[in-house]
Amino acid sequence: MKVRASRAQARDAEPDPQREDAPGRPLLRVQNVAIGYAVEGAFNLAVGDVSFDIHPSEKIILLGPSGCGKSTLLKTIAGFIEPAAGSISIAGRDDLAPGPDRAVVFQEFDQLFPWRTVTDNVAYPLRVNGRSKEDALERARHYVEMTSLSHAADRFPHQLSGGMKQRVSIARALALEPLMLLMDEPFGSLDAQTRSRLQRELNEIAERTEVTILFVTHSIQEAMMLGHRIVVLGQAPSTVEEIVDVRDVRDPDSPEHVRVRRHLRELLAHDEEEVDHAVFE
Amino acid sequence: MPSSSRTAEPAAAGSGAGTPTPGTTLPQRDVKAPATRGSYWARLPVVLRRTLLLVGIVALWQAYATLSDVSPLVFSAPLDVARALFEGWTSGDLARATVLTLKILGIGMGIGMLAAAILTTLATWTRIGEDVLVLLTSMLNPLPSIAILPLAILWFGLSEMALIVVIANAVTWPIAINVSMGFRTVNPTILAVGRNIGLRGWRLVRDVLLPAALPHIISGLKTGWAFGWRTIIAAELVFGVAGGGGGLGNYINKSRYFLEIPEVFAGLVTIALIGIALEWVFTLVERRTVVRWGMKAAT
Repeated sequence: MKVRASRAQARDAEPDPQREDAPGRPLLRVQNVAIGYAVEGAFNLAVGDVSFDIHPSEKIILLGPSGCGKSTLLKTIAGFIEPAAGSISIAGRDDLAPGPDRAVVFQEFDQLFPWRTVTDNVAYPLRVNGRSKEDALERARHYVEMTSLSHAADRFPHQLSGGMKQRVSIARALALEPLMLLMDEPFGSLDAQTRSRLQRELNEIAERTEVTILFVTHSIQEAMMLGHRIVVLGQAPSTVEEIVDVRDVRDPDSPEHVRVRRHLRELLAHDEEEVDHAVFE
Repeated sequence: MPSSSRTAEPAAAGSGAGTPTPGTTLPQRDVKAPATRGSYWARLPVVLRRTLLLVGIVALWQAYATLSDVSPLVFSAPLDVARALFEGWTSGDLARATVLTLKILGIGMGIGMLAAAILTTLATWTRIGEDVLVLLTSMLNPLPSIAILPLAILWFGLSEMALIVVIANAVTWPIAINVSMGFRTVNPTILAVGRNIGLRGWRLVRDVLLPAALPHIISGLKTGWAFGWRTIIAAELVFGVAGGGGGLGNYINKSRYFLEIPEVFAGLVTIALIGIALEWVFTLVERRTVVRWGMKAAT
């Protein structure tokens, strides 16, 4: 059996024994993390207890129903939110202030600086991080070319389509040469055609640059298309339902792929049933 | 270009039914651009339309002054006004008055902008600052600033200081309202991106917050300038009655007193021209910044 699907031992302080064969130390280690937010004085947990590891050059998908806290978890790893419990370490460090070592690509189209051209949007963060003007521009041009944007290099963001804007954001994040890329449903607002094209391009880029990616989505198709492993989260306060390895089931026509996809769908549907129960109780 | 894109749409929609398969070249056929709608007048360039209208109005004005027996002591012909304008600017009377008015306005605007900057900074960073700003603007913004001139004269005498205080009050509130609105409505994603790429503190403010709030900052300055300009002319007119000052408002009042009616009109024309010129400067700044960046629609 090619699918290595297992119940993640989320509640255990021990690291996931499933991945002990993986070479080297994990790049990112999320251990028993809980995240909450205050609403009208009450403290609500979005993420209940989540643990997983990411190894260098891995593409990990956070998959779950809407409202399960997967975006919240990504923003916590990015340093925008403090976890309520548990620990997150990146490359052995626990210091989680927002920084360019975890470059974020958001879902919103207006994440670019409207007053900077495409090239400047990519070059400016490099300037902020101490590169010389020439160096920053050269690098920016390289990544603008990698994301097939050379023809639009001197345009302002408002002159770009949604797909092109998301490409610029990806170029900007890649140019920073981060330890990992955090992608928060970056293709969620795109039309189906553009989305699948950008998915293919992202796969090519990831292969070429060997960048480590944590990708949030609620689309099973997207998760299976892009991920090495899929961390399936349940309803809020979420725990890890299962970690599914999809490295070897890439071909969408293969019976294994179909089986894994059905399995994922059942996992997500199972969560929705729980919600229905909660509503009727 | 808006008219051309509007007329192009129905043509595109009409041919939509028989969409050619992609990759094949269309056979050559006669294509006719749809006729521009509107009268002959509407098809003239905008500069020409405005110039023609202006010439027409001035001609009517001249005709009325020459053909009716209106007394030159209450009404002036445009030719006389032009002569008064020329003489006023060459002799330096009108120029001096204009420079003085602009100087007081500049100082008042400077103080007002500084006050607005301090208030909005406090309002953005602290809750009590925000409460203070909301309370002050809701009380003082609806109050025409000229209304505090009597108090200002009482406190500072018939001095430039009284005028400066009134102007500063007139410009502070519209600027503060707009700028704090600009800061509060900055897209949170852009700020998150700024922090993500490693910006902190003053650099985050300068490189992300300020440019992101620029449309509001410019429109605040524009409103502040318009308020200040109207207020200073009104204040100088009152001052003229009280016998002090030497600005444009006073120039008009003094000319009326000596029955130099063309000079009164020349003062009015100067005020209007400066108003137009500054409005144009703001439009130009907007066109090169926020309009160019797609943060504000062209007007």
